[in-house]
Order: sequence, then C-alpha cells, then structure tokens
Amino acid sequence: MSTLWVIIPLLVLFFSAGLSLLFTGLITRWIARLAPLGALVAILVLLLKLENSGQPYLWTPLGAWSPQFGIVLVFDRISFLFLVATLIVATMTLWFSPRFLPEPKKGLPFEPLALFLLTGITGAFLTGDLFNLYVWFEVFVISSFGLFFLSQNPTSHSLALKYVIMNVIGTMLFLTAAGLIYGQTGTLNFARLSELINQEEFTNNPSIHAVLFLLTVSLLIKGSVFPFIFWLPKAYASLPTPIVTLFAACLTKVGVYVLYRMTLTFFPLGWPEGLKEILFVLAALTMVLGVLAAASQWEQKKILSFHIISQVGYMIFACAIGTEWALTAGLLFTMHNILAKSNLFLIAGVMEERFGTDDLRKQGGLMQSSRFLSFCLLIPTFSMAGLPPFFGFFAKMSVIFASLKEQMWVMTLLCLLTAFFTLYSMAKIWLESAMKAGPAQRSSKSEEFDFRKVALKTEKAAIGTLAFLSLVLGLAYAPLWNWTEQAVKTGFQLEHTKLMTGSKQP
Amino acid sequence: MNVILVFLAAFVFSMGVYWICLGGFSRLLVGLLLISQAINVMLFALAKPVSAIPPLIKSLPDGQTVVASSATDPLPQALILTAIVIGMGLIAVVVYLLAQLPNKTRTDWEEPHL
Repeated sequence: MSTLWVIIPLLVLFFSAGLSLLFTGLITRWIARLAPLGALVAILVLLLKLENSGQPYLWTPLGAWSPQFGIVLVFDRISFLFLVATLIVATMTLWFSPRFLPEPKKGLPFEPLALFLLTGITGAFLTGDLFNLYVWFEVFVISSFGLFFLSQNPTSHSLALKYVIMNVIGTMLFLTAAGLIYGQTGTLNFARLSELINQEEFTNNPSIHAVLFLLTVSLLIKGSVFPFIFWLPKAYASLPTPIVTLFAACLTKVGVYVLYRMTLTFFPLGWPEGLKEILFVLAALTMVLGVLAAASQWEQKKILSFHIISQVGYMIFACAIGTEWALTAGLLFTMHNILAKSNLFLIAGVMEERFGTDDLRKQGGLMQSSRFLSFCLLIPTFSMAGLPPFFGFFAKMSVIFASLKEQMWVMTLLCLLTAFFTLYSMAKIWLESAMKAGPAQRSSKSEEFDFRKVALKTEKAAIGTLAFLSLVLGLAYAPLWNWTEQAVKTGFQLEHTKLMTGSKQP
Repeated sequence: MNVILVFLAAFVFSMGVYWICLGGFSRLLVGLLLISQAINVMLFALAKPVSAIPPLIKSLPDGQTVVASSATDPLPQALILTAIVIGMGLIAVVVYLLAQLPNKTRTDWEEPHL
C-alpha cells in the first residue's frame, strides 16, 4: 500500500537532529530524549497501519516518482523488528544519565550526533533502493566518526581511526558493487532487482555473482565479521558508556540487516554455492575467535565487545543457511542480542562508575547493595548465556535447530561450543560482580557501597525497561516466532510477485 | 572508448590500493581519494556515454514528447554527482579527524596498549 506515512519516523529524527543543533544544554538534551520516542511512536503507528492493511508492506515513492526511476521507502515487518529494537535502545541510552559523557570541549556535543546516527540507521532500515542505502550508510558512518572522537582519550582516537578507515573502504566497496549491479541490471530498486536476478539470464551468470560477492564483502566489513573484526573490541571498550551502547545496538547490526535483506531479495532459493560455504567458514571463525577472546578477558566492557563479534557470527551463520526457519531464528536472535547486549553495557557503565574500575576481579557485592540492579543484571546475562526461560535461550536454540535441520553437524558443534564459552563469560560477569563479596566487605574498612546513591533514577529506569523487555519477549516467544516466520515467508513470496516494480503498482 | 574508460577506472583503483598499501596516513588519504575518483569514473562508464545520443526530450509538432531509444542513461550521472559530494565530504571528515590526532599517532601505525 502506498502511503506517505513511511517517511514520518525519518522526518521526526532528522528535524529534531537539526533542531538540537540550534540549542545547547538542557533543551538539546530534552529534544534528544523525546525524538527517538517520537520515532518509536511513529513506527508503532506504521505497524498498526501495516497490520490493518493486510498488505505485506507499506511504501512511499519519494517525490511521487515511479519506482523505476525514483527512490522508494519500504516498511515491512523485518524492518520493523530492527527499527523497534534500535529505537528502544536509543531511547533508553538517551534517557540514561549524561554524566558518563565527556565534557564537550569543542565541536558537536553528543545529542545531535546521536540523532543524526539514528536518522541514518532508520533510513538504512527503511530504504528500498541500493544507492539510497549507500547514502544512509554515509549519514550514520560520518555521525559515528564524530561520536568516536567525542571522548578525549587519545588512545581511543587512534583506535577509532582504524574504524574510520575500515568503514571508508567498506562504503567504497559498497558503492562500487551498487554501481556494477546497476550496470548489469539497469535498476537499483530491491524488488525489481530480485525479479531480475532470479531470472535465468542472471542465475547462471558468473559476473553478477562476482558483483554480489563484492556487495557481501562490503557488508561483512560493516558487520565486522572475520577478518574485519580486529578494530572493534579495543575501540569499543575505550568509549564512554552511552556511546558504546548505541554502537553495540546499531552499528554492526545495520550490516547484518542488509545481509538479511539481501538473502530475502536476491537469494530466495538460498545463497549460491561457493558463496555459501565461504560465509559458513567466516561465520564459524567469527563465532569461535570472538568467544575465545572474550573468555580470556577480565574487563567487563571488553568481554562484551568480544561477544558482539561472536554473536554477529551466529547472525551471519543463520543468514547463510537461508531457509525460512533459519532466517526467522536469526532475526529473533538479532533482536535478543540488541536488547540484551545494550543493557549489559549500560549496567557495566554504572558498575564501572561505582567501583572506579572495569575489572571484574576488583568488583563485587552488587547483590548486597542493590537487589534491583542485580536482578536487572541477571536477566541479560542469563539471556546472553542462553539459559531458559530467557529470550536468548529460545533464539539460540532456534539457530541451532536451523543448522541441525540442514544437517550441518560441524557448524552445529561449533555453535554449541560457542554457546558453552558464552555461558562461561556470562557466568564470570554474574559471579564476579553480583555474587562475590564486595571490596568493602572483604577489606571491612570502608562503609558498604550504596547503589541507591550511585545509580540515578533515569539510569535504573532505562536498565529496568530493557531487562523487562528481554524477559517479556522471552516469555512471549511462540507468538513472536509465528509472527516473524510469517514475515519471512511473505518476504520470500514477495520476490516472486511483481509488486512495486514500475508499471504494475499495487 | 567506453573500454578505455573502464580500464582507466581499473587503473586508478589499483593505484589507490597501492597507495593505501604503502602505509602512513597521508598516503592512505591519497589512496582513498584515488579510489573514490576511480569509482566515479566507473559510474560514468556505466552510462556508456561515448558515441551515444544525449538524453534530451524532443517535442514533436503534434505535441508529443520523445526520447531517442539509444540515448545515454542519465541516472548514473545523478549517482556520480551524489557520490562525488559524499566522497568529498567523507574525505574531508577523515582529514579533519587526522588533524585532531597528536603527531605521534598520525605517523605511527603502532597499536596503543590499553
């Protein structure tokens, strides 16, 4: 159904980003707090419209150009899943207390950059055009450069530079691939492309596969899959808490989202032979290397950053299997990961602030000092570890079932191994920070830590909301699964219909 | 002629990769600039611009409008325009960020210890 509504969340974020540049201090902060909430409301309204219309998606032709020539924005359930998770995390991060941010010396403060980042990401999730996707990539990549350089820590600057260079090269490869795809097919519209690429003329054409491989590589760089992972953990661990939370929720996930979109659009019959095996190997290496590196760390933020990598491996793996079951599992796993991982980063930030160190060996006593925070820590850690009845358990189990269904024993084994080491790391975080006696109790000199003074109300609210969502989504897994599977099925079928391609408009 | 354009793009691209591989931040910048120019040339070549008719709309006497079927594709030129602007902006940001760094890190690829 064609509607102008799809552009609303983008406009909300974009204009509030611009508006927040005009002011400073408290006004900017409040704009930044309300804007993602507004976008979230717009997304929910869009979802209502989508479900009421009975169509598989809503779309807006920008400037009322025919989709053959113009850019379309497309909203369907899959973009909804990513958008809602990202925007919830963004809202919570921006409501999270600003005391974790460095004092802005010069240049842009945190809030406008974060809003521009969100604009770019929302655009990337909503667009239905390959070149437009490149433009949104640039929008959020440039804002993320700004965010990386906000912290005054010089080591984090030179680490951030590696991120910058990886991403510049990644976007350049993406642009090359987009151009070559246009040269071969004569269109940039996803729906039209899927129609063309699945025609016989192209399915046996090696050159289009080479170009799609180039596109995949650029997305692997964006998603930080092995061998493009090495910049990530150190750079993330050196960032202030709100920024790293935003990044953990958003940055690598955009690459993952586009890979899922590619699978749905270009390869409804599964990834082509060769490419599929390469993706399996890369996914396995990403999973195992990430989790092993995480297991050897003692700093909480570093453990979490390495886990980002290993979990991207799971997502890529599910994506490469390419069956309906696997894609559904992968999408839900990504959802779980965005919510739980960002929550863990927020809690890690609060604890780092309190204990004055990120080192788990020097932390402890969370259980005695704040029941609420330790309960909120329990949910995402156990969810990440894959313990029932949390969201992470069901999502991880579905991914493993997907690989069992395709009888990939080695990959299943590697998944289980990764899951085991994830359990180890998460147990480490839980035992060291919550169960262990606090430093005060052990030395019995200073007074007991009081987290009620440490964690402000807004921080507790943000952490609690995310934990609550993880819990509820885990308990409501079956309906969520059915709903998502329906989305993936229609996503596949859609590519064989001739909707939204030029003359045959719905 | 179009083939020459394609080879030019490939040549400039490989030069860019070579400059990046030389190491050091100033060379890296040159390499990135070259690659982004190569991509622009490639996008230009996509439209098969040489020896084609310009995509101009002609009005016939009876009021109808036509475009020659062998006209160049105008869309890649719009793409190049966007790519040039964004590429320049991106490089400008990278230059700014490099200028922010202390001198030592600018020339040094050594990994700092955390």
